[in-house]
Amino acid sequence: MNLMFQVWMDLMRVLLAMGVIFVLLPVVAVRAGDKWRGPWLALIVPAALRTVFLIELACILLGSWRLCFPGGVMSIYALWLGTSVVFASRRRWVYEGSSWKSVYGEIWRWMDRPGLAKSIPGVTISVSQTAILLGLIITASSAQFLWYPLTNYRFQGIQTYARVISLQTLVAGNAWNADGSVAFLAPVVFLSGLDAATVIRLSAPVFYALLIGAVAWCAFEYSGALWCSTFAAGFFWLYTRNFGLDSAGEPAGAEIGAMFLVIAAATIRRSQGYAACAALLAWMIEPAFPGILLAALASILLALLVYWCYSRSPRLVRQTAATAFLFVLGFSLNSTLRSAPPDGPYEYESSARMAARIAREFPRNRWVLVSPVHEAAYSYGRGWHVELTDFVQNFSPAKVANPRFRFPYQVDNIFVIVEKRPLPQVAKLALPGSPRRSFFYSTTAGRASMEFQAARLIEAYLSAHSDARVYFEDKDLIIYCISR
Amino acid sequence: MRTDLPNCLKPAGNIWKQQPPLDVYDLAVRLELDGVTDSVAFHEYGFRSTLAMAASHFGKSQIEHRLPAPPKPRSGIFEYLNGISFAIPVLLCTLSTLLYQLSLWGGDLSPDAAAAVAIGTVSSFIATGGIVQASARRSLFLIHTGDWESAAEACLKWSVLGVVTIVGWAFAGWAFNYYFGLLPFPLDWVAIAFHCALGLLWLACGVLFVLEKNLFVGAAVVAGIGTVAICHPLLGMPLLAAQLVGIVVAGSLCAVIAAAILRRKSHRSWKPGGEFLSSRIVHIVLPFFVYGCLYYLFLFADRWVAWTARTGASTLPFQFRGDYETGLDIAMIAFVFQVGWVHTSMLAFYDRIRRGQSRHTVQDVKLFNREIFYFYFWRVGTFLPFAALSGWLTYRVADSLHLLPTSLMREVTAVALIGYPLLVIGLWNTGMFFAFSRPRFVLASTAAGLGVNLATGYLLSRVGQYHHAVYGFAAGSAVFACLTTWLFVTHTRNIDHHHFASSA
Repeated sequence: MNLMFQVWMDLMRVLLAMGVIFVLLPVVAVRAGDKWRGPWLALIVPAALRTVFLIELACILLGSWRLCFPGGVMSIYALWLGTSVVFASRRRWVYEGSSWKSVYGEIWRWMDRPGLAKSIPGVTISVSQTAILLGLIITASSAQFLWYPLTNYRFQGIQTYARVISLQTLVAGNAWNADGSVAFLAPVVFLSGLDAATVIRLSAPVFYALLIGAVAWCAFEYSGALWCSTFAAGFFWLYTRNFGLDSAGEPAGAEIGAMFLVIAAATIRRSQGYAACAALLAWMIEPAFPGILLAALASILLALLVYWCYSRSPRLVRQTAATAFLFVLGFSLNSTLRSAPPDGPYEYESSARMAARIAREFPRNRWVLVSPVHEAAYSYGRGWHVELTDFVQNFSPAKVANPRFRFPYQVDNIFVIVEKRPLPQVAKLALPGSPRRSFFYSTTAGRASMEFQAARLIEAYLSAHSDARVYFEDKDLIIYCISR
Repeated sequence: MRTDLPNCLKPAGNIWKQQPPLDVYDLAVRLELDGVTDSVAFHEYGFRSTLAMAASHFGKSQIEHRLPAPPKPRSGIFEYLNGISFAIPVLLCTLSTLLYQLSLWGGDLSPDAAAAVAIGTVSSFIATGGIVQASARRSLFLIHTGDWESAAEACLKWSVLGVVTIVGWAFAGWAFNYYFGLLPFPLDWVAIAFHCALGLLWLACGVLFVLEKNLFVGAAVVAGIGTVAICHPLLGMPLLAAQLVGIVVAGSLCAVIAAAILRRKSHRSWKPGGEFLSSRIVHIVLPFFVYGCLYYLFLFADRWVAWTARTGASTLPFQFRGDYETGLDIAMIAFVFQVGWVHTSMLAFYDRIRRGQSRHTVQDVKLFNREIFYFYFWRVGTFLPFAALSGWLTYRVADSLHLLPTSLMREVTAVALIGYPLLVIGLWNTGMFFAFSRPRFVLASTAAGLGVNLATGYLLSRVGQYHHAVYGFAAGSAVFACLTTWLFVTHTRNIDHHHFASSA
């Protein structure tokens, strides 16, 4: 299958899973009751907020007990939906047998109808030019962070690797250090059927778009004007475009926490309960104060101020200001899809791609990947991983050159990734463990030494064994496959 | 003037031939249903009116429709064997595996292939359980009214619906697997093949059970196992392929025999165009359909839970646990012998009702109800020692044959031997509720039992070891038994009323 098509399909699965779990089903559950009389659009934020809060709490608790499995999480979710239906109903029809009977009767009457064609009520959507502009800003800003994960498998931030491992540990039911920034993504992993690396990679731009949307919504709540929302979203986008995010590389816990804090600020005038819920959720996701929140609030305040001046200015000034604003946005949009560096900072792109491909194509737990620590993010839960530092420490060229030598891994295939050109270590990486390990991963010399030892080891093995072959090779790295 | 008789007066074509008219007016109504109005009776048959024509034929009709002698009661042992005959396929396969290492499914397979076969087998039971129950209910009703043509038609249509369900289920399963990537190729197709083949076999067996031709089922299964024996050891065909061929042979034989019997009984005149899935029929059979689905889900829920527990290091997200399955299968032998008691108890219950009706007058209703109530508890009281004895014997025999070599298997067998008698009590209550046309209580109890089974087994197997799922099964069975007993005791004190209402 075409790789790009595969990535787009994965994106659709992540979006579908997030949409169904956090928006669609909670909204439908509330609408199933007879309490809600307002438009369904107004239900999205409260329903999603409550659902994310519940899932976050449930997954953190279950994960602490090593019980975050699909059955448990989805059962709690189903119970939550049922509870939502009950509490969204005035008559508590769940307890009333007669209500059930009348529903039952309705079904038979519906079955007995001569024709089952139902008319779909017409939906009228009015879209103003400002709303289009706002949508364009949000789309363009999310595209800034979407383009990279669509065209690259590796991550730019070291915290993202840690989040991937954390999420995969959580859903595998292993000992887990609570991490609120990934807990609520557990059902997305279950429903999308994708691995944690893909879910984290493709959900990051969604959270960024939601953050921009939250900023715009907050400005709208305080001004009641779409133009103000557009200004706020534009300012915030310009900020992130030029100064980046709190998290290195991809949006992570700080940005997700900031998003919920902005939502808290937006909802506080209407409902203090929801605001408290959003603030608590933000604290659970990111206990530290997210610096980007200041930028978001500053963008909103600036937008309010600009809009105040804008709305009181003569028509000519307004048109000039709007044109200037659009010009700046357009200029930024032009350089949004900037090309990322082809490799690094922590691994080669081809290394990440091949690790993901092996994990996807080979039978579960029947292979082991020997590579630097970062590839563990793609293999965790689907295969075994041996760190290259351990590999070069545990075996010597003399030992593996013995024709009777076999690697002590009970799998069908052993993949060894060796960099022909050791990746230059520009980013300092603090790793727990021995200083030797830090030396291998934090310095260019250390990395080169590790890769050189690995290459020697494999060469020695190849000289005495015929079960190894080159699985993949490019200008930077070579992957050997030892088949049993 | 016509000389031929209307249908209702023809002995051969009379669909009420086993139920003679109650009186002249009843016969007059039947004549009118055949189109013999007063005018037709006068102009075409020469009678003054339909009533006069009915009066003229009533005496002859009574002679022609003389009530058949009540069927001679069969011996208790025969009825007991009849009660356990539903398990013929499973019992024969188990025996064949023990004696010849050959069976229609399972056997000497790799762990991954065994998991695929197990998934296909379980899903075939769940997919067809509801259809077979609903089909049996509808067909048995038509057979008991003597309308074999409609019964044949119903059997055919429900079987077609069953086939559609099996294929649809297989497609849904394939799509689910494609999306979540659970079973790699070719294991996914192995599971689908076993699901379809076994599903068709269960459908055909279901029709034969309705026709009370249980021995034919046994013969077909023996033929299937024989086919496996020819294809695998003799012709060298791979075991999985040989088993699929064997299942198809057994299923085809069952289907051919069932079709032949139905054709003979219905005089080769299947009645097309009858009611099939109208809202009335769906309303009537829906509870039985749901019960069939829930019951098989209940039976296999603990297996699903055990197979999916602690699979982080295995090659598939679910792993067939041979030791767990062996423990359950050994306990199931005791279950098969215990469940024969339900059939004999139901027959005794109907006999008690019949005798009670003839012995008691309207003034003795309370006495009648009390008698039936005591009978109910007496049967339960006699079952418990029987269950304990059969369970103990099964465990001892299995242990002495060294079929339980590990403590895990002993634990699973012991707990399942506690759970199965509770399930049998639940099934006894189910039979009573069905006899009183009160399936709603059964559905509620089965759903509650299934919920407890899943929740308890899930938690215990995730916190402890995978084989602790069997405690979920025991807990679910206990809930099922207690709930149905409680509902029966509290809701059916006026047995005469419920019996009358269900007969109406």
